[in-house]
Amino acid sequence: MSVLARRDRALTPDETEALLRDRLGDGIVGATLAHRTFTLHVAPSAWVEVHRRCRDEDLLDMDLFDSLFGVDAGDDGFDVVTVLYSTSTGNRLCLRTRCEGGREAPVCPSVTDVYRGADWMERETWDMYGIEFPGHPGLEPRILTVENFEGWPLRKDFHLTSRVVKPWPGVKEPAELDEDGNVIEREAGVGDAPGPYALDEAMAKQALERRRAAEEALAAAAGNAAAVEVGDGPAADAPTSEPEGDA
Amino acid sequence: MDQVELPKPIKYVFNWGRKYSLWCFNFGLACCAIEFIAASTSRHDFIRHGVIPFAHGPRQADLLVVSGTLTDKMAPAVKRLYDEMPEPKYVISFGSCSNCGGPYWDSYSVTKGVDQVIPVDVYVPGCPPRPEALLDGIMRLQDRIQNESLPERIAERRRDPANVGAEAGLALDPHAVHTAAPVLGPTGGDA
Amino acid sequence: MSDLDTRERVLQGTAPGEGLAIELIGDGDLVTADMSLSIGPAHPATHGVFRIVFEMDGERIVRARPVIGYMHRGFEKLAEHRDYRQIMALVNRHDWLSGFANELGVALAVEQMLEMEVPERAQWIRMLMAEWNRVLNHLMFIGSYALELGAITPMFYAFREREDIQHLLEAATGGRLHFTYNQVGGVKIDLPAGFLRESERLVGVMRQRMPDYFDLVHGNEIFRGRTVNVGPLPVDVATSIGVTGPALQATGLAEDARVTEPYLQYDKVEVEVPVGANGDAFDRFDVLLRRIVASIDVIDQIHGHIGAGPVNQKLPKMVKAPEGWTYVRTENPLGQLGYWLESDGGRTPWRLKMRTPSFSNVQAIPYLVEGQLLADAISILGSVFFVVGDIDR
Repeated sequence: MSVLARRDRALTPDETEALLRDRLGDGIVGATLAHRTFTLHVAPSAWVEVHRRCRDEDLLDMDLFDSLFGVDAGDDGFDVVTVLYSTSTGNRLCLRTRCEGGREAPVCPSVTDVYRGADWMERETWDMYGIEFPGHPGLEPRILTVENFEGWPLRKDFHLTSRVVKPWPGVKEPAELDEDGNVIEREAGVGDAPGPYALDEAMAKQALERRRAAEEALAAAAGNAAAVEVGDGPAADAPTSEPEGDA
Repeated sequence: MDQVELPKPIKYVFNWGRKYSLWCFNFGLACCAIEFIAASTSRHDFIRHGVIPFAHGPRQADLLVVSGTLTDKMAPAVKRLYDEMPEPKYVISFGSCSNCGGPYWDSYSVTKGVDQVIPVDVYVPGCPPRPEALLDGIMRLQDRIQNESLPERIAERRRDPANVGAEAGLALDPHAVHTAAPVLGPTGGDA
Repeated sequence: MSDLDTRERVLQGTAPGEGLAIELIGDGDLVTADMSLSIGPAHPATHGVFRIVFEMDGERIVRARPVIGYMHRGFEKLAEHRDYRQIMALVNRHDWLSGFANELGVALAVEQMLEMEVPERAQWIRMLMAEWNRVLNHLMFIGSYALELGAITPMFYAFREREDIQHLLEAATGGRLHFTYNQVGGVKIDLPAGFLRESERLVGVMRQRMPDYFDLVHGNEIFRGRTVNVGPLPVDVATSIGVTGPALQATGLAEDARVTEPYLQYDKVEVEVPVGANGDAFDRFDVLLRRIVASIDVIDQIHGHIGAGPVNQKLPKMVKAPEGWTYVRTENPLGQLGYWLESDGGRTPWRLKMRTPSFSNVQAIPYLVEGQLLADAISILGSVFFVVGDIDR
């Protein structure tokens, strides 16, 4: 079938939904048409069947497998979304399902028997979210991260350690601007990296303290000079290892 | 050659010959590799500086140009290839990803800078750096090679494989500690 | 190639060795073990850090297993922590040869969610930049594919053209490789004076230089010998895997998002979509070369359409996409790039999934390579045009 050969007979989203509801009954639990994207919500039990119907039904003819991926759905668990496209009618269909097993052990049936492209897509979804796909020829080894990587990166409870350890010292950070785009002043905590001006202030303060400590030590040494002592009193403990004026 | 300090005139000629005959193992990882290739083609052409890009493998290379993001998965491969290179070997870190992690500073799978794995001689900043910047970096490396003493470099490397700075005559503070988390006050103090 | 059958040959006649009976005992096979050959990740014949493990029986590949992830930088996770301006500066780096086309998809996705009207001049400028970017990308692959097969000269020719075009794009955007020129609602800044004149001049230059490539590489019989009938890909396998772009068009299917689902103002220009015959390596290269010519023609048409007007619009201090999700598909030089943008109403996306063309194209490699000889496998690997950053993101 050549490209867009049947564009004039393409189904509208309502007709697509009606056709699939007719075939699958309660397998289709909902539909969303927003922002030029038509999505059918499918029950996990009908997941493989709906893909098979999309591919094999003459009116749908979804031959091009676009993508399969996961979405974090918060406390309810994870969603798996596939995008299918028909080269003959030009229709696109997104299918979305809520994985069973909640956040602890999400599981979704594999569609590798229907579309070959689902193979690596499901491996990636497992690598990123930890969603198991029974029926997949082999999810391991981890496809994108290092083989011994721990954790499921795209889950919302996986925090980027670099951002936790060292907050970005600049100010154009989404989290640091309030509703109107004004900068929220943030006090640097212990272990935080100082901002650009805070660093200058900190260095100036340190230099001042060092000088004061050196003066005090000198005064103390002058005071002790009367006493007969080898000159390794407090003066020797002043930080003399680094050269003065070294910024 | 690696143990005897040559007399000055011969050392000058020797270093001059070494700096203009660098065989480069182009370890192109990501976008910076495209700018590296652009620097090797006709318009910018680093071959006229004596750097020949097509080394057959690490064992015939003097120079390793790491261009692009180093991921944790790839890091062992870089280390292995670097170890396979015979001394004296030089490393140019090309681009901000290989300098310090670059725009991927907060990623879970990126090594924040190739200098966490291998010692680097010259850092060329940019994202991606212009080919002219690579030429500048190569020239700085050549200045370094001209002024360095090979026995000192080899001895330094044997003593501390991670340090390449001290013997090249650059004014590096030997007490400066290059840790990942910056401490208040760069001169260390109590660090 | 040669069949290792049982053969019994008896030479008779007056030639030396006459009367000798030569008999091959058994089925001609030597006693061998399968060899596992790992190509990569740092290998001159692969485009960057791509590793593929071949299990080989002599020179023939029994099984191929690509290992990816050496350039996985965690893009989709980073995108969830950046607002839409910061994403634009980061997203052009996954397919690093087509920076503009990557940004374009994100901009279109956000604009689709906000239902924002982009000024017409901005749309034409975007198309112009996207088509020049396509030419840049394809030129690189023409050079590097020929380099892999042993021809070094086309690389220098390709980069000569690339330098000219990059010089032009740098005048407008400031970048040679990563443009960061798109923004939500238009482009960042207007084109400099003289840009269109220079662009027209470059169109003429490219048209004059394209026959060089056809003569040097396309008609070269050594090149043809190494690529014709090597690694054919049937249409149904290609669509089932999700292969798009030149590799899909080479199989005979003219699926091009600029034509089948026009975005920007592509419905106002004529875009020629070259197709191949049987999807072998030569067809993929042929389609690539002809796509350059087609893009030059599109650029020529765009010159006639660019009018005056604003190039961007006033945005709120913080761009926030409304709740919901959208999917946008554009024709990237390497194939179809899809962005699934899901937002919870905040400043950063909830989920930004990038459906990258190279990920699906590389999935076809085991199918293409198994049963082939190793030298043909190198030819096939280069002909499935991919960029490793695009595979791994």
